[in-house]
Amino acid sequence: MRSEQEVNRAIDTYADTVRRICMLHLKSASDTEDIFQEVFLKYALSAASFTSEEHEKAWIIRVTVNKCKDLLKSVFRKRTIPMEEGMELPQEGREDHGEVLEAVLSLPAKYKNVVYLHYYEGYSAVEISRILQKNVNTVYALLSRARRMLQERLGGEDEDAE
Amino acid sequence: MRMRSKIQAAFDQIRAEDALKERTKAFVHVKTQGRRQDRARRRAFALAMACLTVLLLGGGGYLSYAMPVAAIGVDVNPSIELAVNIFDRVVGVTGYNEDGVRLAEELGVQNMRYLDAIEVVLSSQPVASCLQRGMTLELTVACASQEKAQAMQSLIADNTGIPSQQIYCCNQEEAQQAHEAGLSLGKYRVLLQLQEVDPDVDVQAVQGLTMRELREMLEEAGGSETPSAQQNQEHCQQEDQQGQAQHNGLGQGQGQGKGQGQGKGGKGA
Repeated sequence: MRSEQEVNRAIDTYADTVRRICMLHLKSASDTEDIFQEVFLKYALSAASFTSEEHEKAWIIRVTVNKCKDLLKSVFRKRTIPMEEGMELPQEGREDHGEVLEAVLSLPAKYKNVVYLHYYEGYSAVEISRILQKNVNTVYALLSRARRMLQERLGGEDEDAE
Repeated sequence: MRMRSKIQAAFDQIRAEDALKERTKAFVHVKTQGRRQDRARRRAFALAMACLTVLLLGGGGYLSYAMPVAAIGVDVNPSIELAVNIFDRVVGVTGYNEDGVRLAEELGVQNMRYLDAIEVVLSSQPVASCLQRGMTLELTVACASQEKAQAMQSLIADNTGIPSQQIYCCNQEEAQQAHEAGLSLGKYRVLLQLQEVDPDVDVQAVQGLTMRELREMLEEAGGSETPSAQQNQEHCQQEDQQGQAQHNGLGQGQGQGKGQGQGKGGKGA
């Protein structure tokens, strides 16, 4: 079991990452808080040893994605508060980048993770395939289709496609 | 603006609220505190059990090491007794007369193998000078297991070259009676022989005598002298296999014939 200092450091370091992944999948603040608690409690109790910060971050991302999937699959999940009510998205951010966020959030669930991990976190398709435990060709295909859908909606160029 | 830049700018705006972080920290702290205490308790318990085990093993080991299971009496003029543990190590030396007490203090054979310790005793100045003056040396092995006593008798004879007829076996009961009388094993055995021919002889009468004087006293009284090695062996076996009453009768009959013949030869030497 990890020390309280280790857990607090991990929360300070990875809270934003967990929050962004939660935003991709969940529509309520209480679900997000549940995921925060589960992810960092698992981290506190885990005996996994990490060789680097990148390794640790990849572990946090994988656990968060899996916890979100589990929560969405849960038949006991009753609480469904609309995101607009529960989430405290920065008003400024929503005004400036609302269209982009809405475009990403409107993608089918299977594309959201790869888009976020590739375009925001900067992971390659191979790295994403390891984190999400998917076939690398599947990741390439998902990225390609997601790119096309976002371009249709947002326009602009994609340097990856160049 | 390129797609990557747009997405990065959009997601950069999404941050975890400080309140959410604090609530998560508090939640994890509460959830893990009990486990930490349990874990600390389990560790403390495991440590205590480990310490207890070490103490028990160490204590048990020490007790089994310190507990004597056999005794070797050395009687010449100094009379001493070596207490031997289950590992054939000397765990105690007792002197039974003035010279013996002095010798016991000087020897330094504690924790030594008993065969080595006997060598040290025999080569010590007081014992060596007695032997040079032709005084009678007798060794007596006392052990609860007669099998072990016989094995020790044989090993001592092989190792020291002392004739087997000068190494006796006795049982634990006899050893205890000798200790109660304040006599060494060898002197107590001669006292018993003396009392067979002269029941008036008591412990006080023999306490200050040397082995040689005791032997002479026994000879004058008409008792048996040093028995043969074979007789010693039989003595051990009989004590192991037969009842005490039966043994006494057989021992006397054999002791008379064989003991006298050899005893005279020994004295002359």
